[in-house]
Amino acid sequence: MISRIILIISIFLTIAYATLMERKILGFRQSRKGPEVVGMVGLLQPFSDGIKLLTKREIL
Amino acid sequence: MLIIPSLILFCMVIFWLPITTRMVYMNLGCLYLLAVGSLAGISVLAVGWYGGRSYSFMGGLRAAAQMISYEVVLSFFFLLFCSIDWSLNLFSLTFYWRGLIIGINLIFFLWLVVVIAETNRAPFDIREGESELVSGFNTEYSSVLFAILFIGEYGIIAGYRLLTSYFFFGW
Repeated sequence: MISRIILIISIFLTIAYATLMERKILGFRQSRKGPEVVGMVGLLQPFSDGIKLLTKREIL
Repeated sequence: MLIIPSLILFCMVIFWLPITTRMVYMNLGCLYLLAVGSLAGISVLAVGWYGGRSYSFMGGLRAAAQMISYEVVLSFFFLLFCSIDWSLNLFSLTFYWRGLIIGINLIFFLWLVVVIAETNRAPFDIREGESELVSGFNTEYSSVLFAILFIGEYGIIAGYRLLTSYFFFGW
């Protein structure tokens, strides 16, 4: 049970940091810096994106 | 209301099961992964239909068309992997591939192209299509529903990433 919870949490962390890595690589490819305001070098950017998304209003 | 968008999340979770848990010893692992992959394509179509606009339905049709058509090539890759020892077991597959590391590199780039097209990433992103349709099927979804779609899509991409390292580089 505990191992399944750890598995799910690490899958979500993988997804969050995969999006961060994608944005960083796309940024460096176009000689930008990518997200780097939230956290140290943008390390907390996925969580702020998720919190912002979850506090939005739900249409449909 | 939450059911149709969470189909993709469900696909992501059952895609991750045989490559991270004890289900890797399952006898029909490759068949299971193929079935889950085509279920992801169909659930994209269902999500586009559930948006309720004809625009997002067309976007879903387009995404599902690409995912289904590249599913065929992916299934031929699985046939190639499984024809080494004529079993569909994922666990025995990686043992055999680890010994053949020279032959792997020849088809690694073909596999890369097929997987990128299957997950609709950058060179093959006719699903996203930033210039004409802004990722079609999920235009009608807002906060929690969009988060679920996003997590599911990126989770399937990360699952294919793990599967690639499993097939071509050992664990």
